[in-house]
Amino acid sequence: MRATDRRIRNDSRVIRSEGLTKRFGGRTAVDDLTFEVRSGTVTGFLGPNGAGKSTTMRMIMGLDVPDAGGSTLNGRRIHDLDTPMREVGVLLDAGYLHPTRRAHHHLWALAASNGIPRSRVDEVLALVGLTEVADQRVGKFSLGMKQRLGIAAALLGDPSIIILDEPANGLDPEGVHWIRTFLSYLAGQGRTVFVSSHLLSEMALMADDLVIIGGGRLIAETDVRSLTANAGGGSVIVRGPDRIGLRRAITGAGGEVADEGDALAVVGMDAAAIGRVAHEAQLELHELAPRSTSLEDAFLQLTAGAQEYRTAGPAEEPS
Amino acid sequence: MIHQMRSEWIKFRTVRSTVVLMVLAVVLAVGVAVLAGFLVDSTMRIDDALAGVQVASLLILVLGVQIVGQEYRFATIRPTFSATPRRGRVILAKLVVLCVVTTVASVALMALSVLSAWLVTRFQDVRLVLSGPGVGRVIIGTVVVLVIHAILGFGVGCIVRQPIAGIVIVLVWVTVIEGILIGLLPEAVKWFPIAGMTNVNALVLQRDRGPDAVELLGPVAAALYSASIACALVAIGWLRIRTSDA
Repeated sequence: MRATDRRIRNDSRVIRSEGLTKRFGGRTAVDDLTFEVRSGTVTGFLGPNGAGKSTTMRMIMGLDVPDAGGSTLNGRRIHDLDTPMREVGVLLDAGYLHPTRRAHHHLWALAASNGIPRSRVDEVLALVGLTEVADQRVGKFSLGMKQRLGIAAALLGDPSIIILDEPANGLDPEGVHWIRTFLSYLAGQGRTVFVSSHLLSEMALMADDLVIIGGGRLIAETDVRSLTANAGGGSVIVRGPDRIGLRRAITGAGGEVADEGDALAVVGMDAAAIGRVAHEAQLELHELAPRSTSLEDAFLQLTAGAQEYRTAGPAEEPS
Repeated sequence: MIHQMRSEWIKFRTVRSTVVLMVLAVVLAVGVAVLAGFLVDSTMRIDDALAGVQVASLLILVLGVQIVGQEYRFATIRPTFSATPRRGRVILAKLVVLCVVTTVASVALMALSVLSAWLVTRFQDVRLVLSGPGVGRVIIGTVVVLVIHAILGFGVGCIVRQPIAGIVIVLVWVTVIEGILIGLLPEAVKWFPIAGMTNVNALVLQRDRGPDAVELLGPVAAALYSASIACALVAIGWLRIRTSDA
């Protein structure tokens, strides 16, 4: 038994989900989802609204019962953890509060259930800056305050894993900034942070790894750099005085060319190949610039077709 | 398990609704005892003094529904089950806290009722009689009846998992359904979980009330019968909670 424990502790994959499946009525919300989260990383859990992110997180926490598959935290099922708050802190929805209960009582009740001393309540309240309102009933709290309270609750057991579902959703810019700073602070302490979002831009700055889902299925397990590099659709901007000559030479070498202002956008050839073609055709080049797809573009490409609700027509064009 | 019980006790006493229910129960118990002091002729017996506690049992039913229903209403059941994924521990802890609170509350309510009755009868030309045969049954039986009410409410709360619907169900059951059925099927009253408990804390047993009295189970049998129904409801509710998404 001890050997098993040691192996699990040394396992660098702290969250593992295998074949997670959840159906609501006839609709499959999560479909055979398998992924891992590495220890000590910030992993963004990305997908459009309705992709199954929240359902997946609820299943990881043992709240929703999967129709198939399962998850482990630090190698163990959540139901096998005696004091789960000491291993995993979770904020699924800041609104899970009884409105007439005072903030510190809310935290105290949670702490007590895992044998965490009451003094820890004051510590986490100070950490999220809620000490002064600790005695207020949470029904009076703004969303930002509830979010902080939720994060305080997640930190009660000083867990190594933090799971947060759309923590910045609905917050004002100041609140979003606070969440972002706080997540960086938590990650800096070496905690594993698994955080969902439907906005890639939100994740791009802080996430090491990305788990991308759409329509309940895994689309990619990747990191921010590979996502943009491998997303396909990366084009090269070519500019020169003889556009017609350039176009002919590049097309002749197998590249696809589109006009973009006074330049050409080439797909299907990298900058080196285009440079070689231009050199061989003795054509002058003023610009030869690989253009990586923006993160949002890459994300939209990946999740296209997986969105539950799509806008039609011009509104879909990125601004 | 002790951790969960502490947690549930903290939760219980830190929401307004449970405090309001407790205050209402005290007002009801004291109010009815005082009223009874004015209404009785010359002698006030213990069951007169405790009539308000009997009425307060409705509030205990509501309390039983609330203690689990509220967690679902405000979705706090999710943080609760995240913190304690073994749901049985949570349900059992809630039930233990509810039963202990109800036991203590029923003793306190009886004490306050008797005190109020004593104060009222001092200024009236009424004699307060607190001893005699059957008094022990009234006192112990009242605790038992209130605890069974709490468990019945809790069972309904676990099954319905919504406080409003649960409260409507238990109150309609007690006041309308049992009320109507008693009129229609007096011989079946002994099988009603609430009305069937009349003997459990009665000063005078039904069989001693004369030939016209409705036939009921004896105090112990009636208590066991209603407690079994209450436990069965909890078991059904537990099965639902165990296998459902929180």
